[in-house]
Amino acid sequence: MNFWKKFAINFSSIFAFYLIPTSVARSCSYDPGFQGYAFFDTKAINTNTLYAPYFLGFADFYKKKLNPEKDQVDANLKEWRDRFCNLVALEDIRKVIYKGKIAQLIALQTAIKSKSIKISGPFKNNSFAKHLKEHKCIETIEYLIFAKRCEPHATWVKSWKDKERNVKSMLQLIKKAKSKFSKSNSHYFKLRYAYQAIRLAHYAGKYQEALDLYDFFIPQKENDESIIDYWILGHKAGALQRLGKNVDAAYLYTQIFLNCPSKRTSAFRSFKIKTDEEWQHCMELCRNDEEKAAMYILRAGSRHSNLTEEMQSIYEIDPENENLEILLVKEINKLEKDFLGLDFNDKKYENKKRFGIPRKDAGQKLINLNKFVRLVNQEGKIRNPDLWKVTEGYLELLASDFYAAEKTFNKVRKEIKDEHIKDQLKVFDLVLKINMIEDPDEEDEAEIAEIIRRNDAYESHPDFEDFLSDKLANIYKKDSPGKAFLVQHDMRKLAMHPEMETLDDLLEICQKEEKTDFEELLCSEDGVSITNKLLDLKGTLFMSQGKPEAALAVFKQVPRPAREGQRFNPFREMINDCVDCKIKNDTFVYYDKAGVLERMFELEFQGRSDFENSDLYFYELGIAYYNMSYFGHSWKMMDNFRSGSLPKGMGSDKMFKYGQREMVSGEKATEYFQKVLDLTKDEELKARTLFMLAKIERNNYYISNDYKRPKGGNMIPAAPDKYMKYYKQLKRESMQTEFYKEAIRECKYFRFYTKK
Amino acid sequence: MNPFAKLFFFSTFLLTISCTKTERKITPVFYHWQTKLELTSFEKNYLDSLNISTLYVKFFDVDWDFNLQDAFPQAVVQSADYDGDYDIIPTIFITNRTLLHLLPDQLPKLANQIVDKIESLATSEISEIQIDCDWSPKTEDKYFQLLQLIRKKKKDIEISATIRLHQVKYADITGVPPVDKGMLMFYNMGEVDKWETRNSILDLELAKQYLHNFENYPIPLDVALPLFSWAVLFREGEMIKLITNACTEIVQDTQRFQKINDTHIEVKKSTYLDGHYLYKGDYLRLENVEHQDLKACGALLKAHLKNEHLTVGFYHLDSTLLNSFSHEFLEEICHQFQ
Repeated sequence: MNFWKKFAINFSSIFAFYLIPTSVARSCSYDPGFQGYAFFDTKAINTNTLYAPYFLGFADFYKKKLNPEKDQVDANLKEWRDRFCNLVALEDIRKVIYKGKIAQLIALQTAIKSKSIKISGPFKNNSFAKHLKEHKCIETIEYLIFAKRCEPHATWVKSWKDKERNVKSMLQLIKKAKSKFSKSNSHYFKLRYAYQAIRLAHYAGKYQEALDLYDFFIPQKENDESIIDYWILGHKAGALQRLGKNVDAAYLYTQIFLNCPSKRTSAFRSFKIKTDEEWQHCMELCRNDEEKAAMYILRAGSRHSNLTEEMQSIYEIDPENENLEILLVKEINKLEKDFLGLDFNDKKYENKKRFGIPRKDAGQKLINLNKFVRLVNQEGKIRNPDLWKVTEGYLELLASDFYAAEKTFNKVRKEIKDEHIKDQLKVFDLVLKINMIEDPDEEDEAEIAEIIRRNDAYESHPDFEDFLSDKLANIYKKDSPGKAFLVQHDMRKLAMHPEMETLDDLLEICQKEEKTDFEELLCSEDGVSITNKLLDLKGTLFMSQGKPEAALAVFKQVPRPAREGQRFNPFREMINDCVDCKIKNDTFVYYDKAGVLERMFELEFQGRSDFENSDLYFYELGIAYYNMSYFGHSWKMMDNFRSGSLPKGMGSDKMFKYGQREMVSGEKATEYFQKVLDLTKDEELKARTLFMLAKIERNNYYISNDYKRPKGGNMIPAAPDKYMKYYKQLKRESMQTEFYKEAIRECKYFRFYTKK
Repeated sequence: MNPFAKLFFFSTFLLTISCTKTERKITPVFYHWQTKLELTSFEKNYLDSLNISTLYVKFFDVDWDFNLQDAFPQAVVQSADYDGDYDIIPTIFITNRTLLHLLPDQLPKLANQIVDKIESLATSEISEIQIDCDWSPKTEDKYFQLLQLIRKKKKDIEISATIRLHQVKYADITGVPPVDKGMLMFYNMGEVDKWETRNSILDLELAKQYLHNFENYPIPLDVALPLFSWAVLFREGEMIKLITNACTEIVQDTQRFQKINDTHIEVKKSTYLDGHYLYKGDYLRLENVEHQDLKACGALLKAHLKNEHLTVGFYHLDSTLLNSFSHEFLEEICHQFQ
């Protein structure tokens, strides 16, 4: 969730005196794809047009998926139900037609023919089966049995097994269909037998026969409309295409696309033109402008089509064609990707690199579309003039001509009648307003806050959140790195990669007596001031930079009660490193961060003044520095986030602006342990010190480029000799100490290395 | 011995050495990559004039079906009219995405399916199966395992695999397929989707950068050379299509196409080209295989290919393509490898 969502929640919370905890992580996914903004809404157009799925399917807002098989089954069932005067349940028809087996249909046929035999088996309670029996629909059941016999020849299931079509059997069925066609008294069944025969001929590869059958059957058909007419036409088109008659086939597919929703997808996929001459001939076959326009629509449906060119062609033929609006939205969505937020989209480099957006000739495309839209508006022949008027202004906005866009919006505002377009205009107004923010002063910031709080358009379009935050981040990055960071990110992200100038800027803003509304929001998280968190981050950053004095001064600014949440004892010695282990019977004193530093300064002073025990004080300091590093239990003294996977070759000086850094250095601890070795005469303390130095060597190996992950899950890595100096010294010089024995007992690694 | 006699003797000696050196045996073959195995008389004559008796025939592709979540054969060859004049080597193209999605425990089933399918399609005894797959580090293990499983099923014949140039140079990274021999595909070497690419099919300068590590490559390599051409269509800065065999039409038609240079063309007028609709402002890059480049392949490769008996494959058998290459020319190409 980004800053704006927090803002909205916090604002309402203030009035409710109730603080709602919010997730502060901005959502992210593995591959978000292109990252930009889109504000042209499909609510403003008619998405119920039958062609919409072919053009708007790419967008999230259009959820309907193409499912041609389902469309076909649904249309067929509906037609059967219509033929039976809607007296039977659709599901029951489905059970008989699509799920019934031949034997079950034959049993049903027997029951229908007989007065005494009742319907049994799966159709016992089926309303369609009952209806057929009640009305003695013998011809229907005969047709269904015949269709079931044809079905295996007409369906194809993906398989590894060779399944050659049984052409002989198919030809026999065609013969039977012809005979049944002649004998049938029902126009409807005649049509269905014709369909079965033509389909079989097509699938048997007998393309000319399919055409001959068409010519034989269709002149005999009565003028009673059915989806089957177009299904037959589909097979005729398929046969024509196979015979190389592309033009005739393409024309039939155009007709099917226009008139038969259940075969629209198949027609869309099968429409093929090879040459300009074929296109021209196909155009000549079209009986009206609607058919001609449909050919352009079919061509516009291909993935990389030039929509402006296709729109121009459709407009010339049929200016009121409703698909013009759909193509317009699709094209504008592309241009939005090219132009919206081009100056401030923080993902623009990824968009260019990965998706080639903005497109090379996007400028020319914008000009071309703008020219076309102006012409359309001048001529006023289109179906939805309000939409095209606001579009003109939006294209000016996309072209960064904000003055012209504002002028156009203001002009058309008075003329618009359509409520959806009025809403769309409000969205464009807000896009324009955000685009025009330059150097926000107190008043502007109040207005920004107002937008987030109350603007309906802002609320209704999810892309406004990113659009506004990216825009502001781009503006603030010059003078206010803190604001720039927090408008786009959250405190958790800041903790992962804090930078001093960001923290200082935010502290200055948050510690101000009089803050703007906007700053007030920026400085609070879940209704609580972030100042103490910022101070903690700053002190921790000083620690990581090796500036304990500066860190202490900052930690002390945090009021004592607020420091209670984090307590440490880095002086606690452990043979085995364990960053999160709980200690049994723990009696150690735990300090807040300032307390830890005060104790460290005290140890340093004692180490320098109490010479007899200097070795002990320095040892304690060495332990503290070790434990405050990435490898110790008090790592939070120096860092805010610890990654479980430590990158190979990562040194302590690695600080990534937008990445993770780890405090892996053992340098400071080594410095103190070396002092102990120089000063101590106590063999036990020497053994402990050598052990700690050996651990630091091992850690240095882990973060070095020399590190090789051992093969096998729990294997101990074998470090090269240069990382084994202190292990060897410990083995050589301290073998007799009690600590050495204890370390061998407790530490598997040490046991492993001593055996080498 | 006088100096002339010495010279004569020495020359004869040299001639004897060169003549007694065994010449490498070259066997030309063709790839057949269409779905219908139905050779025209022109194609048959062409093959006969080159004494070609072997065809590598793509039997089918294996691709992943995302709906059914399984691998299936696609574009299965129809060989109804094949009259059995040639030795057919079944070639199977496996898409990398098939191996990406396939679970390791599905491999034995797939190996069985591939072998069974080949056997059901083959009209005569087969002596070799070739598998074509541009495997990646993510699919290497599965692909190699699949090859081993096929080898297990067909112990008595050779199993070969296509090898891309980079797979030889970086054999230690890409791995070497566990097969009897490889067919080095000496084409499709450039980045076809980059406008700046000179010729993605055959670029000898680029190829030279990859002619390394052949001496260490553990399996014998034959070579396949390209005979095809295509126009690469760019729209809005993006490569969107390959249009095969259209280069001549494009070059000749100045009404619709404007030459930028010898290989780069701008579409002047929106038009259909071989079933593809091009818009005004689209760009095309014409990629042909030049005769001199093909000729140079032998000189470039012969030192790297160690086979005493080398198969030189031509991709692929298509009357339209063959018109540009006489059989004498292809003989000459083969000769370059000796």
